[in-house]
Amino acid sequence: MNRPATIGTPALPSNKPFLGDRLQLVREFKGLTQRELGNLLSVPAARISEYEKSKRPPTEAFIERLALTTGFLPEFFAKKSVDPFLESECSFRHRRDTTQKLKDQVRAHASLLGLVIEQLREIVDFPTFLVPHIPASTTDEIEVAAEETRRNWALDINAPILQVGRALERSGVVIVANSVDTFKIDAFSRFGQASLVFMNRGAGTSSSRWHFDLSHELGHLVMHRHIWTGSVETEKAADRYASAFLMPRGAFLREYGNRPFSWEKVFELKRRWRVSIAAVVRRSRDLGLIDDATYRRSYQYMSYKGWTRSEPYEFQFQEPELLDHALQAVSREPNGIGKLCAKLGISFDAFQSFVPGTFISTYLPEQSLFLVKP
Amino acid sequence: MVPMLMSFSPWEHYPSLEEDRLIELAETLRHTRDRAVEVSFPEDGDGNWSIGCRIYERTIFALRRASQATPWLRVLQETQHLRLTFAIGSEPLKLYKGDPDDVPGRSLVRSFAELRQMRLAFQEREANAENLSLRIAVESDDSGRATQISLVEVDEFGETQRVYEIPRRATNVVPMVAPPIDLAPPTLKLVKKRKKEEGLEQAGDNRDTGTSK
Repeated sequence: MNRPATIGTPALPSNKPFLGDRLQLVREFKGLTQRELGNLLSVPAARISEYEKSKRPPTEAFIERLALTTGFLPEFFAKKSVDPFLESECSFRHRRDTTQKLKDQVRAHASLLGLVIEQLREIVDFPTFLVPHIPASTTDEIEVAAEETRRNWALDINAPILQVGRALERSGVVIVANSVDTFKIDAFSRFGQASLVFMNRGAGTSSSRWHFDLSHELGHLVMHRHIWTGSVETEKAADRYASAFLMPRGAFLREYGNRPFSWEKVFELKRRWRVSIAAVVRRSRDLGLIDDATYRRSYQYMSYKGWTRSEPYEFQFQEPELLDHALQAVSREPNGIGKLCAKLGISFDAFQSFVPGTFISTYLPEQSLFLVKP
Repeated sequence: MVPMLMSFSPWEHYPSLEEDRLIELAETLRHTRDRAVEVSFPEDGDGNWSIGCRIYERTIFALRRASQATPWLRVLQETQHLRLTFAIGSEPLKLYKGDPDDVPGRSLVRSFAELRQMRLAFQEREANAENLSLRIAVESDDSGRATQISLVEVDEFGETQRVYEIPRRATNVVPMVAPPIDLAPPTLKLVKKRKKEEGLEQAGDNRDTGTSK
């Protein structure tokens, strides 16, 4: 049995290192357990565990089978360790019944995108990261934090933002629509080398909900940097931030006026401020414009009308652009995407399985990218 | 709108019915009605009857409450709890929902409270206005919200004589509405292109300063 002489990064027979954390990343992204991957590659689950923990180097034949099965080339597993999206540093918003496997899959997806963005930064200049850091916990502090963010970005505090995603992307936050098919995870964000907001873009995602979710994640980036999020308090704070960022209190109070509550007015405010009617009703209560009883009845009515699932007067959806534009810029270069895939050590098929974007339609992969067995 | 009926300025004929008072009364009625409509759920079985009852009882409540803070407004003592007659100054008034030119028969009936109040009002009225009653007509849309509130002058035979459409409260406070922020897409530049441009700039600077590498 070939055992490495020292514990650490074991050497491949061809003297190339094999990084176990990259195997784990690929396995998690594929949504496979160690047993399932072992079955696919005809090795026991314990062997996969050993490879992932770098306790034992895999054979060349295993790496070839792995590459053929997953589309991640042998070079991919020989590169430096991944900067993984750890659960502790991600602001995860998901349903309570979300399985650990699904969360791992989504985090692995984000980590892979982090690798792509890191590589893209060598080719493309992304906007400078300009998200202010304003710790806040009380209601008033949160309101001020949201207003300060707008001021930082020179966004009129009295005006609605037509494209919230662009506001974030212009400030260096990369927004990615989730390609893992799940409705159980709404969004998560991460501050770091690649500040990323990862959003679920399911079929039922409304434009107004998208705006709110983006602002919620922005709230985490602004207020909860280096803080463990996911508690009721941090989520409530991020929700309040999102409301305050989308509908600053002064302007909202002025425009609500002293008229009594009416759905006509709620829809009028929704259309103007590009938010959901639920967000308008919630903001109205938060600012003391309606009482608790009216708030409860409004929610009952929204639920009855089915507006909590799908509501009228939605506006045009604004897709994330930054990553797509970067990839388009690269794809306009001779064999740009091919070179990018080669640098990442990923086949084009595997690349397009986790990188969303319109660049795919314009790109014809080079033959050299396919794995050719010697 | 009642184009065939003669419009008039009530305060010229009924001194108690000042324009500001009528507007304030109409705003109270409008606000009360709209609030009542908002909490009605036709999908849960609320119909014209239940919505109408809620509006009516709330209106009585709202006028009673307003009369406590408004010296010129009084809700007259009626023998029946849910009968509503009120007075602006000395002029008794009753409410009905419908067109100003079609006063319902039940609204023409004068209660003792109204008759008693009319005796006081006659002292202020013109001589030929003795047999005229005053009613407030509330018109509404399909949802029940008030669209127009009018003061109606009706004779003893139920014929509408004159109508004053009470205007909405004029407000000179128009909220400032800032235009929405329309952002351009984020911009990106290829690193090599940027470096090339920086190189050119560097070369240009060197030429300007006369230095070279």
